[in-house]
Amino acid sequence: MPLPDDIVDSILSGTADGEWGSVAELMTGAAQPGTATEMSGLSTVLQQFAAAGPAAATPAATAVVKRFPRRAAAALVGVLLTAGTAAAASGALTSDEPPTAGSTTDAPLDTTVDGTVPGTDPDTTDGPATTDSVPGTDVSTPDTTGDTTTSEVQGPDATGPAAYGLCTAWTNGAPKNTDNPAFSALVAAAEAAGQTVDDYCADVLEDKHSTSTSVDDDDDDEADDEDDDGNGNSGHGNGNGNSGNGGGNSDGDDSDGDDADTDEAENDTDRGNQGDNGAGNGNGGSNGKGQGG
Amino acid sequence: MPFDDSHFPALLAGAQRGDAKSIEALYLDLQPRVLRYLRSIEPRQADDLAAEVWLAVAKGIRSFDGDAVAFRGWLFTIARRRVADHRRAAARRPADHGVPDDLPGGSDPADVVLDRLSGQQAVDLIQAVLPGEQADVLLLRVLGGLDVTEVAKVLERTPNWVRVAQHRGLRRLAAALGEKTSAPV
Repeated sequence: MPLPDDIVDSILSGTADGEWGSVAELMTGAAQPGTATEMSGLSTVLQQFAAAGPAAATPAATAVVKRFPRRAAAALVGVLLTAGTAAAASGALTSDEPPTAGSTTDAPLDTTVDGTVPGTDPDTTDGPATTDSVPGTDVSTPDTTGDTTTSEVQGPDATGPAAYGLCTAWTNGAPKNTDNPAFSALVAAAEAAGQTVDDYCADVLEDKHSTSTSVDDDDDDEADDEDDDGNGNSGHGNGNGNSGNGGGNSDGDDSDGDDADTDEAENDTDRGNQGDNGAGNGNGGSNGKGQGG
Repeated sequence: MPFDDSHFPALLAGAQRGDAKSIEALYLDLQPRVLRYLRSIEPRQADDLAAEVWLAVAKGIRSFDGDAVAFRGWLFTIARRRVADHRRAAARRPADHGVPDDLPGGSDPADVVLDRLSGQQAVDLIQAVLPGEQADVLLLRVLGGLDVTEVAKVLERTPNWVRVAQHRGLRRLAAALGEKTSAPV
C-alpha cells in the first residue's frame, strides 16, 4: 500500500518530520535554489531564443528559396504535402508529441514551409503542429530577436532539405558535436518532432529511401546542383521533415534503450562513414560537407 | 530563483515573444534543476546536455501551450531524451552510482550531515542510494516539481506505478539515512 499522497507531499516538500524528517531534509537539499555556477550560460540561452525567433529564421528561409530552382521547389512542395498528408492520415503529427508540449513539432515545420512556399506567413503555415498552441499574438512579435549573426547560429533547417544530409552525417560516424550549429538544428528538430535524434534520423532516412523512388529524377538533379555549392542548407529537396514526425516515438522512456529502430540506426553508424554514403547517394556527401564546416 | 507558478503564464508569453527577462526568469529557476538531474545521471556530459535541452526549448517554446507543471515536464522529457541519445551514441549503459565520497560527514548515508549538503550532493546521494527508476521518480517530483500524473507521463508509466516507486524509494532512503520506518522497504 503506497504512502498516502499527503504524507508523500509533505516529505517531498521538506515539511515532514519524525520518521520522515531526514528524508524530507534531503529533499529540501536537493531542491534548494541554484548556485551561480549552475545558473551560468544565460547569455547563450538568450542567444538561442533570439536565433529561434521568426525574424531570425526568415532570412535563412528566404535564402533557401532564392537558391532553389523553381522546379525543385515545386517538387519539394509536392513531397512536403505528400509527406504531411501521410503523416496526418496516420495521426503521427499529433500522436507522437509529448503530452506536455503538443507544440514541439512547430519549430522545424514552420521553417520548412518557410523555405518552400515563398510569400507564405511563417507563423500560419506550420500546420497541425501549431494549431493547438500558438496564439497569433505571440508569434507575431518576436521581431526584435533577429539579426544576421543569430541566423547563422541557428544552422540549417534540419526538418527540410538538409534533414537527409544531416541525418546521413549523424548516423554515419560524424563526430556528434552538438555545438555545431548543424547538429544543434538536427537535435532541435528531432526534439520538436517528439523523437530522439536517432529515431528522427531513422525516419528521415527511411522516408528518403521510400520517396526517392517516386520523385522525378530531374528534380533530384537540380537539387544536387545546389549541393555542389557546398551549402549545407540546400540539398536533395525531399523535404521529409514532416514525415519524420511520424515515427510514433513515445516520450521519455527512451533511456530504456529498447528501441529496435534506433539500435539499427546505430549499427549503421558503426558500419558506414560519411564519405562512402555521400558517394553512393549523391546527396549525403554534399550535405555532410556543408554542415560540417 | 524560483518563481511562483501563478506567474508562469506571463513568463511563458514573454519568453514566446523573446522577452529577455522572461527567459531569464525561466532559466534561472529551471536550469539548476535540470542540471542537477543531468549531473546525477550523466555527470560528464551534463552541461552539454543541459545546453541541448535549452536549445530545444528555444526552438519549441513559441508553440508550447500548457501550465508550469507541463512546462517542467516537457523540460525533463527533453533532458531524458538527450541522455538517451547520448548513451546510444556512446554505446554505453548508465553508470552505476556509488555514494559520493565528498559528502559532509562521510560516505555512509547514515552519517551524512544533511543540512550541509549542496543541492547537487543531495541529488547525487538520492541517485546513489536508490535504484534508477525510484531515483527518477523522486527526482522528477522534487527537482521537476511534477505531480504523480506528470511523472507518469514523462516516464510513460501509470500513476499507480509512480506511487509505488516513490513509496519504495522513500522507504529505502529513510532506511539508508538511518530512520526507523514503520514498514519494510
